[in-house]
Amino acid sequence: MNPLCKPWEHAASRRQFLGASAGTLAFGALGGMISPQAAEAMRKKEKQVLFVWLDGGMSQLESWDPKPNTEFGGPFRSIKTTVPGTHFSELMPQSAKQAHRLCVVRSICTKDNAHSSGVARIQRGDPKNRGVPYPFFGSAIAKLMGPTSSKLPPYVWVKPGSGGFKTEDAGFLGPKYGSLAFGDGKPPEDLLRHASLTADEDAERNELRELLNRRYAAQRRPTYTEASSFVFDTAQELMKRANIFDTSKLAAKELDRYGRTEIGQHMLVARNMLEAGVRFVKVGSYGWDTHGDNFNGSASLVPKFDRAFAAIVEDLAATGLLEHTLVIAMSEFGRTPRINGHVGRDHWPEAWSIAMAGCGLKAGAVVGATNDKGTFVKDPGYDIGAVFHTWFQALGIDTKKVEYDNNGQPLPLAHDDMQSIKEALV
Amino acid sequence: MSDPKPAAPFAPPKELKAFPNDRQLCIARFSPCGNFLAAGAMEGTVRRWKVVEKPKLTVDIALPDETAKKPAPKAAKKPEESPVELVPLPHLTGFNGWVQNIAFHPKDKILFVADTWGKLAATDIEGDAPKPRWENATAHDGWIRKLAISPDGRHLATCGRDQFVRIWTTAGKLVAEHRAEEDVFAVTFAPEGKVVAFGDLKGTITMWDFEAKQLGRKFDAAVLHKLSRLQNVAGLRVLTFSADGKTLLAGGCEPAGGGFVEGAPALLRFDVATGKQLSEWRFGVAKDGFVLDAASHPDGYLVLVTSGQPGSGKIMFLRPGEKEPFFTNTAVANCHSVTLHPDGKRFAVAAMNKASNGNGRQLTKDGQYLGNNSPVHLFEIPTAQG
Repeated sequence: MNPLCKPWEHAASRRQFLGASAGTLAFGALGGMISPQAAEAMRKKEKQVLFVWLDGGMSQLESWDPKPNTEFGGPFRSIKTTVPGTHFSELMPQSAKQAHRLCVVRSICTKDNAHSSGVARIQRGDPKNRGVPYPFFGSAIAKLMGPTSSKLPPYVWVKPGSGGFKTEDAGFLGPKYGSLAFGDGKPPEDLLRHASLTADEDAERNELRELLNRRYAAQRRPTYTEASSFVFDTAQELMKRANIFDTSKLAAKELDRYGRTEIGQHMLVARNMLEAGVRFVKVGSYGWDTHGDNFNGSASLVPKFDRAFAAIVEDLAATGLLEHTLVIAMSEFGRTPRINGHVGRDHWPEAWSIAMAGCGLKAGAVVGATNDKGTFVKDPGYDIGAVFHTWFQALGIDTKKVEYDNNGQPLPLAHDDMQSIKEALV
Repeated sequence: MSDPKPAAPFAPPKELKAFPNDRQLCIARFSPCGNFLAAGAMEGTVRRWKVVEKPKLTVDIALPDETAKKPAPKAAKKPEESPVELVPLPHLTGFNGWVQNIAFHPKDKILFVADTWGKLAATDIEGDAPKPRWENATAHDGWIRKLAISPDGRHLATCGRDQFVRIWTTAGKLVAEHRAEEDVFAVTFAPEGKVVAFGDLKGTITMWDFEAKQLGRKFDAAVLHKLSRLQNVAGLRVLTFSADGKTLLAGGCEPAGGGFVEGAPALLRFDVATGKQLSEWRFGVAKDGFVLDAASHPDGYLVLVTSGQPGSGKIMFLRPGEKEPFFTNTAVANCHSVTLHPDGKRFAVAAMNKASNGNGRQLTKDGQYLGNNSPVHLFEIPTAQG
């Protein structure tokens, strides 16, 4: 052994091996080392999206854009990342190790500082007002790209709380393109055949269900009934792969790597869904509106996101899925530099950050900057419309050529006056 | 704090003056000699003031008898100027993040300072550029949440986000350390100075005999913690023993939820010998937040300050045997720290400017984006005679 080397430098991890192998070996040759779903997805190289939504507004200063030792910088240190010269908050040690895979835009400058309007406004891309509600990004992708060849639901939302079919996301596209939400990361009950039923009995029941559906549909607008059938069929397809939701059989080390937290477990389910071929997976997390005690709150919240986010980025990279998966982590706005009397930070759309990774994006890039105090963007900054252009572009959808058809009304995919962030794109 | 003396006729404290300050403060402390006030700022500095007593000037002015029907007042008093001024001294620099904790040596003129990047330091008090005595830049890995000094002045105790509780000599030598199971939010010495109590994120308070290196009794203050979605909301902020060491007080907040972090200020009182909780006070409603600091008055009562949603703050005087504070002031916004002057007649509160919150861009007329600031409010406690 070379005396200059350490023993552990010769031991490749499973993930390192998979990462190296993905580009050079046929997946069939890997045997049991990679899930069949991941191998299948990798082989097809279909574009997918992971959209992590931190509802309420994560502080940019306690995450992607720290300003330590400045007036508004807060109590935390910054740490080096794998990209020379780029620092993240000390609350993000795991993401710091993935920085070479990330593309962070630090000069997001949007217009809405209220949750009630901002959440939808941001997720719809805040286009010019044409009198119709635009779809959320997930619904847009469900419409424009459809399900992958897996036939699984095109837009799935893993979230805390209740589940169901969230048609409001779809805007003018119609309910079919809403999100299929899995509350608390769990599958819907009673969708699969109960153990007490035989296959024949189940088939008879389904026949009856379809008959009733047809009668129901005959008296209603087809958009709604088509949506119901579509969702049921695709959800049933997902339910045939119930192991997607079951993280209990994973090794303790794997669970720990994602964190034994709500967001950690939901991110694991998201990973399974991406590997299974779901087109668009949204992971929602609540409780980020840190108006009070922001710094203790961030000390509790941010590391839990950090652990889960870094783990999934690492895993997607290791399996090769990151090459064709667009990863996004964001909120509806950032948080004020000014620290209020309750030691909290309020809403701040003026200068905040979005982290991305994956297909079509420059890895290891930091785009835009805020001023020394972190109060405002240095350059004009990027509104969410520009970010939407960038995402579409990264997924291979040319926003100059493709447009929505809203019952004959042509509508642009994203804000007409904005363009993609060229520094972020490969 | 000892058992309370019988309640004497009480005249409420009056504010002498609010001294402006251009930054937000975490903590303020009078020196034991009473000649200095120091404060840790949210910018890696220690702010200092010389406490200057002014000759008391009260001028009697005879007013003319303007009506024959009404008896003329004999005299009216001209509004008094504050008999005390806080004269700013140069800041102490060289710290990082926030200086959230400072402590004066009980006898020697030394100030101990802990910052949120893990630095612990000792410095002289006097002069424009006091001499640093020693410093340890890596006393903790990151945020030092609390610093306490033993009553005999021999030891310091620190605790931090790195889960460690550490005991140091006041010369800066590490004496003992203990790794807790959680982020440690508060530490305090028992009166005899050989045992500390420390409390963590989840509201577990533990006694630790650091000389014998033995953990002792635990106290359950879990009511000061809540898991709200992803967020572990830590409510514990203050620990303090009674003067006789028989009771332990834990102050903070009973959190109702994360994010906004609403919750009612709370104070728990434990019997040290048995670990049993003797009493609990809740001071107000959910917006009122945390008991953030406490000072023991020589007359046996506690001076507590609270801070909650912006604009919400209280100064309270509480006798441990009573159910309610016997004095409450709600005129000062977001009280973050209180310190008693050693003469027991005055106290200072580091608070916050009003209207400190708001979403989005809030600029001054000339386009400046300003931070908030912490005025220091100086109060006088009238004697029983008034």
